[in-house]
Amino acid sequence: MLEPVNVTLESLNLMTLTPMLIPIIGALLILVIDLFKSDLHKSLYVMLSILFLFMDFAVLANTSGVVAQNGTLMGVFNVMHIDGLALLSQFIIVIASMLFIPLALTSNSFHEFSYPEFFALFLFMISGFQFMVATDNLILVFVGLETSSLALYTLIAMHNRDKSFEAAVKYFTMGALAAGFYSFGAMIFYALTGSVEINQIAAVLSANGYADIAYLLVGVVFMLAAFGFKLSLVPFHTWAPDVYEGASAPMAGFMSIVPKIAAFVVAMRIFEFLVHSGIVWLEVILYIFVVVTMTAANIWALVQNDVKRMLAYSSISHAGFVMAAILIGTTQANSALFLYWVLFTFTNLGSFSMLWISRQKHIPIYQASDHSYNKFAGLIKTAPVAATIMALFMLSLAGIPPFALFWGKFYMIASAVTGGYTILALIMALNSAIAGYYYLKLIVYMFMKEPVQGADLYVFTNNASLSLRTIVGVAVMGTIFAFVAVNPLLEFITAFVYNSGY
Amino acid sequence: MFEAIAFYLFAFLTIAMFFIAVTTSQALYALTALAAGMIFISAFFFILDADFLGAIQIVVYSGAVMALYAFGMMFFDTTREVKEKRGNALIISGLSILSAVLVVLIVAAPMVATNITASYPVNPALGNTQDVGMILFTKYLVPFEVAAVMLLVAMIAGIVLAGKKMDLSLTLMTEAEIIDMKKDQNKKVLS
Repeated sequence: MLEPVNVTLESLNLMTLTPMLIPIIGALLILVIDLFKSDLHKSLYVMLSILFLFMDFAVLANTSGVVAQNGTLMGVFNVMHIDGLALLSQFIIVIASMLFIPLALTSNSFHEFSYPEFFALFLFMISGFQFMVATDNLILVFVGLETSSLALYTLIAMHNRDKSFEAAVKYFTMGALAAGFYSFGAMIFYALTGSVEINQIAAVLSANGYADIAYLLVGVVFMLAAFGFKLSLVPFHTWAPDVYEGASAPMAGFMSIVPKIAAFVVAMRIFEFLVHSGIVWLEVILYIFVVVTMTAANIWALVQNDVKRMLAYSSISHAGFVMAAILIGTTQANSALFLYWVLFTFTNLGSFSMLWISRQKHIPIYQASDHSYNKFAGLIKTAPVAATIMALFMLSLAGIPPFALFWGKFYMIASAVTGGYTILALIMALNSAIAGYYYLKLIVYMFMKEPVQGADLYVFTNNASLSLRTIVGVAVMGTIFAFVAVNPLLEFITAFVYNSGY
Repeated sequence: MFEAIAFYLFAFLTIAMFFIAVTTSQALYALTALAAGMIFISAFFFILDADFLGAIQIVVYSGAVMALYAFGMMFFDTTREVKEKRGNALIISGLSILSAVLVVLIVAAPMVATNITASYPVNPALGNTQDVGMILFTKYLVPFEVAAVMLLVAMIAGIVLAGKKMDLSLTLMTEAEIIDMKKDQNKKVLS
């Protein structure tokens, strides 16, 4: 007979689970409401989602106070691992989700928002990402990742037109491949060390002095491929432009931010101890990944004819840029990663919301796709405010001071220089210059060209509603006044990153 | 001795079954061979004293997954011969050899690292099932419950995507068409 196990409730530290449970409860509530009364307006569900995400945020803020005082929190048999990284990334995930979900309140009807399940899946997805970042157990990372990915594929397909099915199936196939790679990688780490917890893997590996280096490298290759897919690093990026084009603009914007920060945190936990332990091979591979991803994506972005595809390549390039932080691996670089991602959130939120506002249901003849460049031609004459706002986001993405992303790029390059990666810093600066070119291409279209003959003048208020305008307003504020917030934000981030030992 | 005989017997049977599954041109043969192969694999778990995983292998793969395949087969004409497109033989054999080597590498990894110690060693006085249950409901309680959430998500996703509401696309309809459709009481009302 087994002896009964005595577990005290205090030792479980259930507080570490609360932030993830809140969105799950919200999702279940939405499903139950739908059971009892099925034809409610979508604004109720949007408000419920925001309410639950806000509660999530409040609990996170409370937890961050505890973590700041007592250091890393462990809970539920040490599976939950709440440190500074987990909290920072959860803050970004929850805030970004709160800003993206009001984009459902468009003035035109779109298929996915007619489902209460859309909002339930959205909340399940958030809790999946939160589980993924708040643990260093590879099994929980996997389960959280799959929960959120399955929900995300469905959210894309629910847009219900041919391109979104194509996008969902492509994303699903690539995601399944990445999941396979991830589990092989995790298996090799387990085989080498007898543990699936990253800190124990690190301890066992450093105790035996990285004896089985060949097998370790095989494991690292699998992990790199898995995260390459999730972070859309070149050459694993092939799905990204098609998926961004097929998904609705809010989902595309969401995809460029939230899943990536979750994947970045896990990649940081796995790769940084390996880079620090002086595995030269991994350093070289990461270096190549960073440089190729930045440069190749920038060059592909130059030749795109569709603004959304251009933004897809641009976000691949930004992911490569930020991946440099994991290569450099200093506290300064890791803090710069989080700062960059906060600023990128606001800028990308703005640019994808602008695309969403101008979304037409039926594409006129002179446009090749939903958001082709000539749709934006001469916008300054037909809709001066929209043109100025769009230009603002493009300038921020290009890294022109004093707009938001300039500060992100600035701190990232600074950390590369202090980390001793001078050539990398130079390549990053050069790439920012190349990137400026394709962002300016859109500005040239908007400001210098004549509008297309017979163009719909009202296209830029086509889909607008008060909540969409508000979100764009928030993004504009975040982009312009970033310079006020950068210093306190960086202090806050650095304190948390330093406390969790990265 | 007995274990060695059992291992080689089941190894031969498994490989033979999967070989049939890959090479046959009859869908029904492939399906049956695959199911048999799955059951033979569970024998390895029993040889290794992992009875719980052996039972799971039979229940999940042979029971659930193969039943799903069988249902899928009902939509096709299984008596017809499948015409396969054969690509470049060099690429195919190259990739198969590469993946075979990779599999051997992966399986060999634990043998190289002999000095590992399990964090949760098996209690010899008890069955394997009790040990798995003990770990699953203490240490791995959270992943277990999150897996339940994952299945719920997958279920909702499946129901939504296969549902009748997806037949019409509000994304492609104009606002006037949507209003007309809502007035039409006979159709399924979309909110």
